Amino acid sequence: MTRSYRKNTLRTFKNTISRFAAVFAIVALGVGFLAGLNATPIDMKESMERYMDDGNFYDLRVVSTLGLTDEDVETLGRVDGVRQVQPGYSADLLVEVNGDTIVSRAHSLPVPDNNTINRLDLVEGRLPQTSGECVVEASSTKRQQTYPVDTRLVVSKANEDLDTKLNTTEYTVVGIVHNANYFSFEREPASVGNGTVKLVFYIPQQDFAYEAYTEAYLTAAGALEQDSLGDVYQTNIDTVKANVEAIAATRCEARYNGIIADARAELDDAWAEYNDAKAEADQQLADAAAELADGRQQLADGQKEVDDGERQYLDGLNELTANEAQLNDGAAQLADAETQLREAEAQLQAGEEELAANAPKLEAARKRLEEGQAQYEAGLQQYNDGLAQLNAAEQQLADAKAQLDANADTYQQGIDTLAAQMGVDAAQLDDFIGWLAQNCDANGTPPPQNVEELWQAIQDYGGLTLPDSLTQEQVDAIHTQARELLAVLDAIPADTLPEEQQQRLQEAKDHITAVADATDPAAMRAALQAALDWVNDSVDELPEPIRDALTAAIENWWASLPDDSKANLDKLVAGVGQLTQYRLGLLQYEKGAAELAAGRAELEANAPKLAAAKAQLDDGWQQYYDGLAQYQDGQKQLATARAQIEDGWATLQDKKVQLADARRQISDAKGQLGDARRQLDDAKATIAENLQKLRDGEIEYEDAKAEAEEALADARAQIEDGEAELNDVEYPTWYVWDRSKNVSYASFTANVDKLTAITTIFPVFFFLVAALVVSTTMTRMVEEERLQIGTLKALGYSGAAIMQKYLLYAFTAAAAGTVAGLAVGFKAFPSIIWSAYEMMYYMPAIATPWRLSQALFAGGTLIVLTVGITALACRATLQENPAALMLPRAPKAGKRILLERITPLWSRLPFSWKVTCRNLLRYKKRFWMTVIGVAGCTSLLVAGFGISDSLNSIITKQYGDIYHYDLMTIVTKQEATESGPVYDYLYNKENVVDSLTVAMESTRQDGPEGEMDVYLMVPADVDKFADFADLHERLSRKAVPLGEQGVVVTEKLAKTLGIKAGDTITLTNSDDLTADFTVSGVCEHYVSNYVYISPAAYTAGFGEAPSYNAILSVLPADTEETRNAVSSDLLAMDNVASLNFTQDSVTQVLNMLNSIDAVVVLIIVCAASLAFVVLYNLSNINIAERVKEIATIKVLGFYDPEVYAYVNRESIALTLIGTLLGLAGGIALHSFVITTVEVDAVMFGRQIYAKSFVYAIVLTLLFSILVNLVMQRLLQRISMVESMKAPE
Amino acid sequence: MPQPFVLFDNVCKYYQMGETRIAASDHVSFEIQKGEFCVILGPSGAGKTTVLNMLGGMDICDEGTILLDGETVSSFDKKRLTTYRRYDVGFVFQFYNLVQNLTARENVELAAEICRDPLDADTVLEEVGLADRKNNFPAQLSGGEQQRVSIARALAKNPKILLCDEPTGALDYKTGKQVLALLQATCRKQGRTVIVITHNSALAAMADRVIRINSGRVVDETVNPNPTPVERIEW
Repeated sequence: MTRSYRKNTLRTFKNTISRFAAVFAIVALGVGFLAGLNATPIDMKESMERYMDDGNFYDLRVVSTLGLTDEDVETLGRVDGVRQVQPGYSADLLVEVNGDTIVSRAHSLPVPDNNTINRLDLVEGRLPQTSGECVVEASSTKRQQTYPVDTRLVVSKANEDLDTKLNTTEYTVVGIVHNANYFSFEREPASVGNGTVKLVFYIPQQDFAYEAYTEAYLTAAGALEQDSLGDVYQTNIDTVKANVEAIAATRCEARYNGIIADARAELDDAWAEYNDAKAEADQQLADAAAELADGRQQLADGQKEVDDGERQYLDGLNELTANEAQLNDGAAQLADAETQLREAEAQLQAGEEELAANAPKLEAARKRLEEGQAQYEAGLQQYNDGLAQLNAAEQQLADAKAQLDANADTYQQGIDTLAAQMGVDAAQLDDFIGWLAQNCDANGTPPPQNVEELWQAIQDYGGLTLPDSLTQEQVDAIHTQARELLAVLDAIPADTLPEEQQQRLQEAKDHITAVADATDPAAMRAALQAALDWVNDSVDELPEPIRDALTAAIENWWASLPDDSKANLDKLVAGVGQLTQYRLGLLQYEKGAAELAAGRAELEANAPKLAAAKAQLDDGWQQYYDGLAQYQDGQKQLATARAQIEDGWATLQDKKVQLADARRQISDAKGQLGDARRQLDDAKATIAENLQKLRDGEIEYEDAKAEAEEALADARAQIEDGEAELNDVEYPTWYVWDRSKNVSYASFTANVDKLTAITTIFPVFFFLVAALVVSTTMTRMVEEERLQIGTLKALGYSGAAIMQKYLLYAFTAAAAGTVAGLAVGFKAFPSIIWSAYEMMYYMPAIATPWRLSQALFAGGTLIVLTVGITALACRATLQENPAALMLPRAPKAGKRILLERITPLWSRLPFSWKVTCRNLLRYKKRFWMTVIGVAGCTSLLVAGFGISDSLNSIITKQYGDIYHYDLMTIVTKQEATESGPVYDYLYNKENVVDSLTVAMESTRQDGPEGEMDVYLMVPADVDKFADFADLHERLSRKAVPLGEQGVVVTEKLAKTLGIKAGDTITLTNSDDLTADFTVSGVCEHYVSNYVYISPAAYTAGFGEAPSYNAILSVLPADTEETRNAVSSDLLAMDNVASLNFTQDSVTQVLNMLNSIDAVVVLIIVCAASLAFVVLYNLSNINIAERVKEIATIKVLGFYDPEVYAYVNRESIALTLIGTLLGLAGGIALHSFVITTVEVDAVMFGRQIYAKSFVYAIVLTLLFSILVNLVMQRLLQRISMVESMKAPE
Repeated sequence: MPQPFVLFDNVCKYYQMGETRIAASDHVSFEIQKGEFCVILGPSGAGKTTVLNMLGGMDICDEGTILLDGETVSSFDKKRLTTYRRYDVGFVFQFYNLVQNLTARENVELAAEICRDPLDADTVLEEVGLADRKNNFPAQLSGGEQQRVSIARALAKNPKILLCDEPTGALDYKTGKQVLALLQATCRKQGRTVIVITHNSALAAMADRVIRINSGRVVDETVNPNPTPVERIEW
């Protein structure tokens, strides 16, 4: 290379630094990714190999069904190709640790002088030195539980044939070890309990009780140096294995014969022993029978005695009961009597009081009676007196009467005489006299003594017309005179007179008027009399003329009156007196007679009253006397009653004393009876006891007899079995296993194989894109420098020389990229991926060396590709002649595209889009490049996010949608699921929301790729099961209820076995029974393989009922607090083997996811870088190729945004197409990766969430936009002067 | 004297080359009247293209004033310059600079689409005599045809001036003459101001005005009252 050419070359590097960087970056990415990922599984395998070599891991493991003898071991050591043999013991045991029952495996520690194979790597503490000490296998990952030093391990009594396995059952952990045998989180299936070996511990050999070694570990000569994953190793091991298997037949025969001989001897001994035992047993049984017969007799006697006693006792008891009843009656009576007495006393008291209250009343009555008597007697006296008086009065009256009667004739004569004298009618006079007598009597006045009086009386009487001397003429004359006088008087002017005179005058007038008015003579006399009286008294006061006139007139008149009438009367007065006297006497007599009659009537009226009073009084007295008599009777009665009551009290007292005596007697009798009872009971108890003893004795005898017979029969049977067994002692088999039978080894290699699958597909994809981009870039570079090549060629440079520059450029960029990519890839990728696996395996940190073959493969390929393509491009260019090269290359012709034929669409497209469409299709290579690049990027993103989704689905779907229970409690025996504390606790709604008993069996089922772990779950209540696990198909979401006869298989298992609903599945249960079942459904399921079987189907299939050993529970709140509470409650109970909280599984998976997320991030970052580099590079090329076009449109006056749009529109379109393709590719890639990576026991989610697609699209577009932004700056820098240049 | 349509007044453009400053345009002054066919003549490196770039709005001057139709182009900023190119200038490139991916008609439309008052693409193509080739891609056209498409593209924008940078540079003699005739005809018929940059002094005869430039300076400016039709010019 000439100096200037070298200069030119260097300048090219400098000027196209961005292109150099692009090539560098894409190569680095591609190579780093490819080499790094390819190296990862190799790094892991090598690390495992080293780990195993360091621990001198076995090459072959020999297990015999009848154990291995020392002789076997010795023979094994002599087998061709065997370097070392290490015999040992192992046993699967249930071990109790901290209250948990753990499925464990005990291994013997190698004897100190033969500690070569499977060396233990002490992590903590020390190795056991004496019996009872042990070391435990550290957990395979940092996250698993292990038991610290000083933990006590107690081998459970529940282990079968424990004494043939171990001599010591209690161990103390003194150290923690690692062993290549168990470096995986996956554990060997256990031959006891459920599931797999959870704990491995190592104990001294003397603690094992086996008569022969259970296994032997072998190493093969030369194997250590060989790669255990290589064919050489495998051939070597296969050879040794064949050699070992070759001696197996001989050894098995020897072992068999040995066992048979031993057994024969044992059997003979057993026969002898059996016969001895039989004789002895017979003798003992006979003795016992005799003893029993004696006992029976004694018991019968005793019983009879007791029966008599019992009868006596019963009599006494009856009597006593009767007496007691009587006593009680008497007492009751007494009480009644007392009550009665008290009542009588009260009554007496009341009577006495009443009587006492009656005494004064009686006295008062008497007093009243006496008073009445006195009154009566007084009344009687009065009456008698009255009567006497009356009688006297009647006598007097009768006398008077007689006198009167005697005078009656006299009287009549007097009347007649007088009447004649007077000139009046006798009847009238008689009447007058009667009236007068009556009057006198009434007034008490005597009969008229004088004429006046008589006159007056006649006047008063009125009825007696006396013959008068005054005639009418005289009267009339007086009247005339009176009237005359009156007229005179009226003529007097009265008002001239003094007042007093006026009055006198008036009086005068009145008197005169009276006179004038008097009609008959009598009246005239009377009026004149009155007037004369007035004149005598009062006339003086009048003036004299008047007085005189008046006096004169009146006296005149008066004087004119004849006076003979009165004179007649004088004669009469005496006669009237006499007559009146008589009439008076008559009157008095009549009066007295009436009075007497009245008195007599009165008196006679009093007589009945008196009689009544007398009768009343007599009654009263009678009553009084009656009352008195009663009172006295009452007093008497009361006294009698009191005496009676007092008698009653006395009697009561006596009775009470008697009763107390009786009571005392009964009490005594009771005491006696009680004693008798006790004696009887004692006697009975004794008898019962003896009877029981007898029965026990009999039972014992029977038992003993049966037992003896059974034991003998058993012994015989055993011996016979032994004989039979001896005949069919199974011929021993040797199993010779290489490492692939080791679970940890197999798991690890399987995972590494899976990893290999992913690490192959991902980077290859990546690598292809990178190669495509690099080749485009380099081709483009050669194209760009066409003119220069032509010039140089014209100048006479050889093709090789010219090519040198480009090859150097390509090589430098590719090599630098390769180195950088390898440097990062070899370290970063294995480390990141190992961090994801680290939690599943215990291994020292993996080594990440540079690997030549991967480096060569990845780097070499890309370098060769880059350089080769460059060379091809150069050669193609160089083949043209210089002249042609100097000429601008005919621009790539424009072309119509298919879209233009769809005129309606095309004519509607904006002009700028037409250009874009043409351009897109014009540069097909670039089109595909970009589309593939972008699609690849999107696919990787989709796959990356999708893997994350798939793993997350395990949690959300398995533990969210499918499992609804929060806790599975494994118990040690079925009874605990039916009753007892665990049952009570879990079926109490206060502790848990709901519980369901299930049978969980951990089984190994045959699958197309060997045995698989499969859990059989049989819920006791099929209907309720839906509340604990939602079984449904994944795609259709259709429920797959278990039903009465259902057998539901989980999806992954169904897929592995290639079965579907309606097919038949063959299952083996934990009792090694095998049966065929018809699958009723396949359910979505992610973690572990399950077959859910209804109890009915289980029983029908296996011919035995499932043994329930677990309870599923839904907790009230799935919080740490609740779990801790429930866990501490349950673990304190017996029979709880273990508690599996769903949340713990979630946490476990989450931990795993965190590591996987690292891988996902790795993929995303790589995809992003890839997208960016591809887009950047291709955009760069796009612009570079079209600089002139862009300059031209700038000259045409396109604004900057229009220019960007003109170019970017294409890249956006390409990105969109690429993204869409990428989504499809992503789904495919994701599906491939997921199915490849899955392990047997786990199904990953098949679904990519919508949001993952969105993320992928958004990220891709983001890179695209980012690249476009960068490109805008590039576009800005394009000078319009470019347009002036000649075309290239 | 009317205001000149194009005016260069003491326009200078410098390029810094290391220590020294080279004047690509050294106080260039000239004027062109509206409707004139102007030829700017000079040998390679004389500074013709610099003048053209500045007049076409692709470059800015360091000193002096450039006026076009009364507008001071020399004071325009970048954006304004783009607008200026967009609406006022039609450009004909030596190498046609057609977009290969577009047909002749589409190439014309590409320019016409961004203008305010474009001419109809078909009409313009007819005018340049390509009515029957308008749907062909550039690769299917001869050089002369391509250049005519280029002219049509410039004309379609209906620009104030038509700037042609060595329009015949990539063409053979005969075709070159045809293209020149087209340009002259455009000028005469449409009264459009056409400025042609060339190193071919023979073309001076066909111009209304000839400006000779050498070493960045205007060495001569002549007005030709009787331009010769291009058909009669031989070179």
